[in-house]
Amino acid sequence: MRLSVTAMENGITKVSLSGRLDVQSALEIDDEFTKIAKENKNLLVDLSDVTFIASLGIRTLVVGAKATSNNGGKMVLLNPQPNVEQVLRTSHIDTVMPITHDAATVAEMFGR
Amino acid sequence: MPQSSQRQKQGHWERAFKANVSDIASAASWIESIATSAGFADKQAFSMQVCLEELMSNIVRHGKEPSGSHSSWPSGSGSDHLTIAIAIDANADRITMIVEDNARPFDLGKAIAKKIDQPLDQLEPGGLGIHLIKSFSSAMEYQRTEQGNRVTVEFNG
Repeated sequence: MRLSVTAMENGITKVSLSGRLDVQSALEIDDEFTKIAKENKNLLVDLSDVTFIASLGIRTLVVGAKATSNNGGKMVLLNPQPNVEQVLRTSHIDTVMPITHDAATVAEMFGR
Repeated sequence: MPQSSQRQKQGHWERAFKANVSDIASAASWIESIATSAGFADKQAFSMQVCLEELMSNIVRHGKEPSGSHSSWPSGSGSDHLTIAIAIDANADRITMIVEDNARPFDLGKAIAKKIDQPLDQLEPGGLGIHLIKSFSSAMEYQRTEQGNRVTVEFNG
């Protein structure tokens, strides 16, 4: 799994994940992802290139979202593929972090 | 990926894996190659991988510990003395996946299917696996065996 970080406008940080967010990858990126979430208040997680996710991957996202929330910030998930989105919505993760396919409205979602 | 309109091939496949993290990835690749060669629909192949990852990671994480205790992920790669045997049967309208282990007894049928139902600040991360297995399969059955556990999950076409 690849992870890259881009500073966007308006104080939003984009984390792009790529590959399978399976058990192995979740355990591998956990520390780095949590560190990024602790250091950045508003986190946009681009899931466009994530082809698989299950409960451990969701756990990684929830831990990150809790870290941004503790800083008074927010995490938003961008562009999950249909199978990945089904896992996310089945878990009801969308009740604690928004999922969007519209990059144009992202700033608004962060209240920017 | 195969087209969903393609007729699915019938067949039987089986393979044994160790209860460690790298073998969970190997099992996922194995399922993917079967799905491609047998023409499983993308949705079925994905659902099988979700269920298999949850079943195997449950064994890796909890298979060794005494009943009732909590454990985090093993600091090593898992428990190599635990074996996970997977058998897959496909016919025209259904795929059956049987996962057998020699781990401590754990009745998956009676386990709580947790989902996210609390605000973020009160949420304990993790524990969504059973809910995902039940949601991504059309049927699930648990049996205690002499050696350990057998879970049968079905996927309708």
